[in-house]
Amino acid sequence: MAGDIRILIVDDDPSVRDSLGRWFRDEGCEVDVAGNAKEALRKLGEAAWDVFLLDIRMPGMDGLELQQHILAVQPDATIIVMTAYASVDSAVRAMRQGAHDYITKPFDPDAVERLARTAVERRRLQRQNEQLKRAVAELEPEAEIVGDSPAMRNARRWIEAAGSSDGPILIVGERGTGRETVARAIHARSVRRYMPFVTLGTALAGPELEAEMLGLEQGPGGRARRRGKLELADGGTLFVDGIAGLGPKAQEDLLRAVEDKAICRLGAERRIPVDFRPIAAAEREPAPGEPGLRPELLERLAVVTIRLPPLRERREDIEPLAEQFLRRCGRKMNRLFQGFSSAALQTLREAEWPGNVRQLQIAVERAAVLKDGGIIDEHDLRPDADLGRKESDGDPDEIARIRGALAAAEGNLAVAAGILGVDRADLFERMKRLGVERTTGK
Amino acid sequence: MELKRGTRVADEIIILPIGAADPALIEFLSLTVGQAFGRDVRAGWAAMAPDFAYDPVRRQVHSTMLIDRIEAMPHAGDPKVLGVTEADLFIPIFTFVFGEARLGGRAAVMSVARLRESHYGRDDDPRVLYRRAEKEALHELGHTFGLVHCLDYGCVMHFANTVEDVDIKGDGFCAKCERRLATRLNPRRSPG
Repeated sequence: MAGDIRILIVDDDPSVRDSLGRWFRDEGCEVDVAGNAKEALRKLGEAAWDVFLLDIRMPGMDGLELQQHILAVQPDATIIVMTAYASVDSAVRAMRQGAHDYITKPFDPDAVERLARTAVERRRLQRQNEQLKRAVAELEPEAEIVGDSPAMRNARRWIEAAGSSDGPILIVGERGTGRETVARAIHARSVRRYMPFVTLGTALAGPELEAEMLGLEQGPGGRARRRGKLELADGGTLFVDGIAGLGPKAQEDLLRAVEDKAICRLGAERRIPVDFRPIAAAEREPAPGEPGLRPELLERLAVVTIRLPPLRERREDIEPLAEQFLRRCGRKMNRLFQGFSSAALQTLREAEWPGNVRQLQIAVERAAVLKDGGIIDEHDLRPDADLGRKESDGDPDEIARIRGALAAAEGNLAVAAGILGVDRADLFERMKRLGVERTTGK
Repeated sequence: MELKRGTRVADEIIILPIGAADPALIEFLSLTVGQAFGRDVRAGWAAMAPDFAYDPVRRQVHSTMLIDRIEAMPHAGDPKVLGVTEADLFIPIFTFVFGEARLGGRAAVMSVARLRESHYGRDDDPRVLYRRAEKEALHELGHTFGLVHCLDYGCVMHFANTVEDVDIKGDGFCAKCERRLATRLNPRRSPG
């Protein structure tokens, strides 16, 4: 068991304090004891404790009251109450008030062992969770927002500023420029970062969209109650992608929810309080008075507007973005990539990228799927049409190499691929394109 | 895995197109999967249409019914038969399956429907399809040789629930599965 767990045992019976104290010390924990609630509160003020074992019945302040004091000072404390069989009801009450577990006297060794294990494990998971949250908070924004072009530096300044505030944001950028990524980065920097980030797309329309946004008290055919996206985003961020694509009714619902901080599920009369930060996105900057977009909603959402440049206007970011996507693929696929060849980088830099960052990401992922690792070369990035044109000319040297390898391998495709140092699927595909037949072998 | 020259191999592996299957893919599988099992491979005739196993409500083909039909087909010797279909396969408790096999039995089936890039809205790439199909073929045939799912992420017998899982896992057997396979292929020469 972890030796860095600190346990405070509070019981007026010395034999309980001694026996439990010994048990947990043997497990490698740091243990202290208190004979009553007053002494326990003093020790609570002197040092931090991970786990508290509290007797319910004690003279003076009882265990239940002590528990309230402890949780007020240390809300994440792991509290285990100790009780006699006769007072299990009190133990249940203690658990309802935030205790983690209870144990009945006299103690069963198995029960103490389980109790110790779960208490320590819970504390370990709490710590791990805190560390992971910190790690995510530190890593995620840097991992997501890549690029050092003047346009992106400017956008990043706005993202930082938006992250430290809590107001609505409008993100404007072409498809694939990373509008949702930026919205997530703002969320990750905001005070709402541990609450949900909910995306509302505009693929749905009419009653389906309304149900998606507001939820259903009772669905058609007696379907169970369903919470809508606006309710799910409570406490967090609601990202509305394609604000101009929302119909008039949906815009009205959204405006009302933002202004009233409450929604009504479809088919319900009860209002449910919701508190989310709206971040909206549009392909182009909506003009005031633009038909199809309610001016009050635009006024509400466009408090701060962040403009994301298309990739063709920040070509210097292509290389770091591509490198980042490749690293991510490598981790995901457990393959070791060593980057791009200079020809591949030139191809990437010269492309127009009408689909922006997302298109670049897909191109890199596709190349990564085709390679087992190593360096991504120009031909790994070329779309099929280009490959076809190049190879249909029939490079005689390549055809000769493939035929030679197949002959040496007695027609065995796998062995021939090994000789050529290429993948079996690549070799077979090239044979098909070049019209090379397996003329020997089994 | 390569078997030593002179190792006794039982019968062949038959790659059986079910319905209209891509001939180049059938040829590719015929050329590649045999080596892992030390068996000859040949492409079978397109003798089976999947219509009888088609579920019009799910608009998918019930893979177990295909396996039953393959097992009932008369075959000389003791071949392993891998049915390959373009149809999307299912078994009742799952929304879909990439394939199904009878553990230690004769028959397996695999679908290429969800191995194609176009299923995910991307442009098809034959090389990607071939790689995925080879892994799925080895996986399902591995079951027919008695291999079960493997915890090793790199092993071709690792269970794949998504096409990303298929891409991530390797195209060969891990050392443990390879030993098990060798034992089943050649019990008298089992290692250890």
